[in-house]
Amino acid sequence: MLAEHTLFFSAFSFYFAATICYIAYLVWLSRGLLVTGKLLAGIGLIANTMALIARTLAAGHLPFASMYEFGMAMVWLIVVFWFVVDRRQRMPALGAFMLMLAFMLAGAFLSFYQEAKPLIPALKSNWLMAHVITAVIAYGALALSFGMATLYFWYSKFGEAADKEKTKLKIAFWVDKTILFAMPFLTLLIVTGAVWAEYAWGSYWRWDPKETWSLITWIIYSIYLHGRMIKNWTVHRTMGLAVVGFLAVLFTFIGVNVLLPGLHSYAQ
Amino acid sequence: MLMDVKSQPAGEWRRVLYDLSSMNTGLALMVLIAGIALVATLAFPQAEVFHSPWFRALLALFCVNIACCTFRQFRALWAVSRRVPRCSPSASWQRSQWQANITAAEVEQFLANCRYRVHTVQAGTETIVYADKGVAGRWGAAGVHLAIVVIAAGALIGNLFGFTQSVVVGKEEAVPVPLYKTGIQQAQLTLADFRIEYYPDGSVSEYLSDVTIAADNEQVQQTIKINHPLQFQGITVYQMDYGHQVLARIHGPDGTVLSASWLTDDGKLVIDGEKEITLQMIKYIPDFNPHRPAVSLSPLPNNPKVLYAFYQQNEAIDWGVADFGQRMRLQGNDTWIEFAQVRPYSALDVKSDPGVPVVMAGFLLLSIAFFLSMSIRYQQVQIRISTGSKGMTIHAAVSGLAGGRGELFFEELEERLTKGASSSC
Repeated sequence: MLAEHTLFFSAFSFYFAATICYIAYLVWLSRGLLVTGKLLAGIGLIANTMALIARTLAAGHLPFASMYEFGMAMVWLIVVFWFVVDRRQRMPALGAFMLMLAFMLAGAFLSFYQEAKPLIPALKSNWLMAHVITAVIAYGALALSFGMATLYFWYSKFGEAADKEKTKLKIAFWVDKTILFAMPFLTLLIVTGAVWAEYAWGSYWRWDPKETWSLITWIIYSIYLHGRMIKNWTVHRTMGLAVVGFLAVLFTFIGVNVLLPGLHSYAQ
Repeated sequence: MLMDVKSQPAGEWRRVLYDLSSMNTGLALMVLIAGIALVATLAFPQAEVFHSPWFRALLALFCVNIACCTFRQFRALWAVSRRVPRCSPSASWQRSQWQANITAAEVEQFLANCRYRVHTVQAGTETIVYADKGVAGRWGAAGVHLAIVVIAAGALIGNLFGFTQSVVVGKEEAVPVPLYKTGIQQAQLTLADFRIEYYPDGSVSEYLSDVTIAADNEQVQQTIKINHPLQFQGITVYQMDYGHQVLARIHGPDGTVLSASWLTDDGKLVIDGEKEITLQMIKYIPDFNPHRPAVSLSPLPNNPKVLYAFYQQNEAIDWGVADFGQRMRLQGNDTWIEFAQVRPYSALDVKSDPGVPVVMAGFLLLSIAFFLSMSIRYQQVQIRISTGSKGMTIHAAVSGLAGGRGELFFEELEERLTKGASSSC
């Protein structure tokens, strides 16, 4: 059995166990469950980190060459982002949503497992690093905004009346902040991809399915920014847009690779 | 589109400009483009929706919207950069009011401590304090819109003056390639060799085309790879594809060569023009496997053969697998055919796009401006201090603080001003 695959499977298992603890916390509000959940998530993150290192050593390059490799990095960053927000803000319920997303994505990426391989000719470029790092940061931050937006809806339905509105505003504030952070990276992701494509194939834009879907995603978040910052749309409406935006991210990342053949087909 | 339009200017042409540059039009176009792109990729993956005139017209309309909006933005931005704007809060501003005993000077001091630019106006019994900060963020937002216009302009230049031509060149063959769109001036491109390098595990490491290109007493030799194109006198040559060409010869009854042609996979050669008989080289198989004739055992030429078919009036009349040098004869025909030689070929794209530097400048501006606009938020504050029978009333309005930050701002403002305006921000 390959070590990095086992490590990533362990990370998936720990994230799953941590999710169970956090969901149980939402029901029973026991502090013990919270501590256990965080501990399990921490162990999962360590396993995830080790899996990334093992994969890098096995492949001879940073783990950015396939959907499985990129997925490992994305799940890792989602959990890191969650730890950062969790330290700064008291939103314990967020753990249930973020860790659920992390284990579900880890499970999905495990099903796309490929043995470590050297880079194919198209990926042998310094642009690979810039392109994929911006993708990991943008997608990781947008996953966080998705988790928080779903938390917002959960609070709208099940939150305690005493501080419901204030907590919802705080969550909305963090969703805004996260999308504001992610958007320049999402832009940079498209820009680096376009510049690289121009250099590799002589065309910065071909309406390839991946390019088209990255544009759709960018448009959704641009509409979010205009609606929230200028048109002063209601929080409820923009939180819905944040959820839709991340669903588009997931389709851009996973759906396009699996369903729509194009220049990124190697990623599958 | 980041500028909210409050009043519609007079005059027909201004009305058109207003409609074209309005944020609502821009948002509607964005939704439409995203929706069409979504349907096109899912329902019609092979359709040329994105190159259709109506879709291009839609993109052009969006660019016009952004261009008009950018023009208006920069005009307003110039005024904002010079002094604090004295604008009345619109419906999108967040508002609050409370009672407090403070002076306008104390409010000014507080806002100045918070790094706002402040401008105070006396209007009857009211004192109005206008303040703003983060003008750089607005420049960033305007820069993002300008960048989209620049990218569109670059794409237009490329469409008008650029060209792309695909060439297939066999080993040791020379082909002419255009230097300009008109094709009047040409360079000579020669493929010295095409090679594939492999990793120890057998997977492909690199596709390499050793080429020489020459024109006007200038000659350049280079190995072209993916991510390593050749640049020569304004054109760029990219590695796109590769394969094998097979030399097919038609011999007369006495053995003389009547015609010869290099064929790529699925390439055709006319054998008899009158009877409409053609030969199709279906596929070159370097390592033939009798159990699976169409699939090569390896890329190495261990047992090279050619899969072929004869057609008469587009109907297959014979097919088979031939060795190199094997004579193939059709019934009732004196001529015979052989596959004589095989050589690698390289498929290259020759491209010239004068719009690329403009597009790249747009990309650079887009990246920088986006980071600027997202990291610095433009905020405007208006505080009206009025004295009535119940004492002093503070009416505060703020814009640019979304996602609950407006409420937090009012809470802090009220707390600080109640404690005393000298409190630090």
